[in-house]
Amino acid sequence: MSLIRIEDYRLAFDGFEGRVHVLDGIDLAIEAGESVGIVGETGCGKSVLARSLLRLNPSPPARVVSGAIRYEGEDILAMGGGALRRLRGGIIGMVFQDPVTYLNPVFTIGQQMQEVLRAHEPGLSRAQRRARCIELLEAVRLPEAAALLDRYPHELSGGMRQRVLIAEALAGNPRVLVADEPTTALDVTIQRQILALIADLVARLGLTLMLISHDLGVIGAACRRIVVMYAGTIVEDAPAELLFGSPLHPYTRGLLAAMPDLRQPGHMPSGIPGSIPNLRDPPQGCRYHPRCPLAMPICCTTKPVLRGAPHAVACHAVAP
Amino acid sequence: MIPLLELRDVTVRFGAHAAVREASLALQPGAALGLVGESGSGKSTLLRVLLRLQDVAAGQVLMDGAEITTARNAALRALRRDVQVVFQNPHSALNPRLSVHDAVAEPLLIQGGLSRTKLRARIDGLLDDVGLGPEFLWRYPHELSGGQKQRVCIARALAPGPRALLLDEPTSALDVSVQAQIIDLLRRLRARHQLAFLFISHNLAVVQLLCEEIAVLRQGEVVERGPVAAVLHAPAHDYTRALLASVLPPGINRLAAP
Repeated sequence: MSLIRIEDYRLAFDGFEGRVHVLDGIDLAIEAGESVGIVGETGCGKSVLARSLLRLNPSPPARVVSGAIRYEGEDILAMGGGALRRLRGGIIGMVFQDPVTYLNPVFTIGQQMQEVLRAHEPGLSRAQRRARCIELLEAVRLPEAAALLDRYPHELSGGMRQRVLIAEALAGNPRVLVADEPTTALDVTIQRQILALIADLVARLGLTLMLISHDLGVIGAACRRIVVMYAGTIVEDAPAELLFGSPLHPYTRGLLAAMPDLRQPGHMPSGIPGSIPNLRDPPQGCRYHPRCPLAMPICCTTKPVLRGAPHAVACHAVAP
Repeated sequence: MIPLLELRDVTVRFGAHAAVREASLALQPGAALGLVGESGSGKSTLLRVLLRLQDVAAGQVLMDGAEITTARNAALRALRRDVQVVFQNPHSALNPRLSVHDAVAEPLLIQGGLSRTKLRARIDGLLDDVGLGPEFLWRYPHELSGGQKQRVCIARALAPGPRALLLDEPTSALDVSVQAQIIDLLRRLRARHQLAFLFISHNLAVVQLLCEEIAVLRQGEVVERGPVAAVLHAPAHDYTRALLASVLPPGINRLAAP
């Protein structure tokens, strides 16, 4: 049994101007110990998918149209209050993009971490909680952890704040870490340190990782398996070396061709013509067909199925 | 050659904090200079100094060899016309109440001297320049994608017929597939109009595609400056080396343990 199994998951947002089909038939199985990167551009649904694992998409407007998200066989979408509280942070920990907005500016780091610990381990004494906070801050390699507990978020750099949030995500001893663009708001030198920390924690604690990013370089630094999303669908799912070495889906190829590469000064990146579709009225068949150089008549009518192992692709034109 | 824009030993202070320390830069006519560095390195402050939106504590700002460090109002008219700016976030750089036509027309109306038919022809020409068809003329910002908005911002910047564009992270709010289109557009516009570029970015790979020269800033100081190939492929300063070592190119990247 897979640790996490998403089956034919469809999610829509009900808005004033109609229903937006945000995720369309997502199938994804993640085994324990895997590090999976989800990559795609604005509006592809990668963050909504990540939040779905913790049922964090507010409903309304979110509405599950069909499907299931199973953790060890149990459907997360059907969980009640108690099970959901254990799931959030206790089984799946989450780190978000902008470390500034996820820390409360009026409480010290210690107060915020203690709050997390009180939720996960209500039996701990004050002294035990403090000791555990220091242990967590040391695990994310923050120096002078004890002194840090009395500091406020504004006294910390962006990289330090993200380390604090990673420490909080680990406070409930989760088995899965979901990180949604954890380095996008940080400078490149700090980005590298945070990614190295995440990769190290995943290895040391035996975590299963789901990393969301728009940047194939970031994904390539922390993930062994890469899932490419476009307009609410998974278009390709492959081990990293296959995805970079022999990308199959026209969108994946377009994405790789659009990325500037410092190592190739002569390579002029080429953009993908057209723009992302309006998901209120998504294209029929394959959602990429209006922009696809390989589009055939069938692409306009029939949604391609994600097929192939270990290199899966959803495309009528390129069979694995 | 006399630089189009020049900074000599410029220092900018915000209270006790020196955001820029004795920085010197020169932008030659038609040249493209990349300004790289991390947040807080002073990139955007330097850009504001060049636009005379920020006063300096010490040092000189020159345009075409003439000092404009403390020039005001009418004395800055040439700078306002010849040096235009494109900002990072196209979503906040356009007035939501102005159509594409009105946004691009505004600088032309301020300059004056155009008849109604000539104004319209000029706006059509500018939109065509940035790859937007006539169907975009009466659209409002909320009807445009991020890439289309940035094209409107570029058209607006080109309207007064500038000699230089100051570009402050013009692609970092955009998706990579759109970023590639904007890079291509900027390269073509620069060749067509013989523009000078001052290009601010934290993305070294993008700077490499658009610039011939590069200056590396750290904590308000220019720590390295030179031709792009030399700085990026044979960096002399430790900080430049650290920046380059942090780049994660598309592909599998091995990270050293933290």
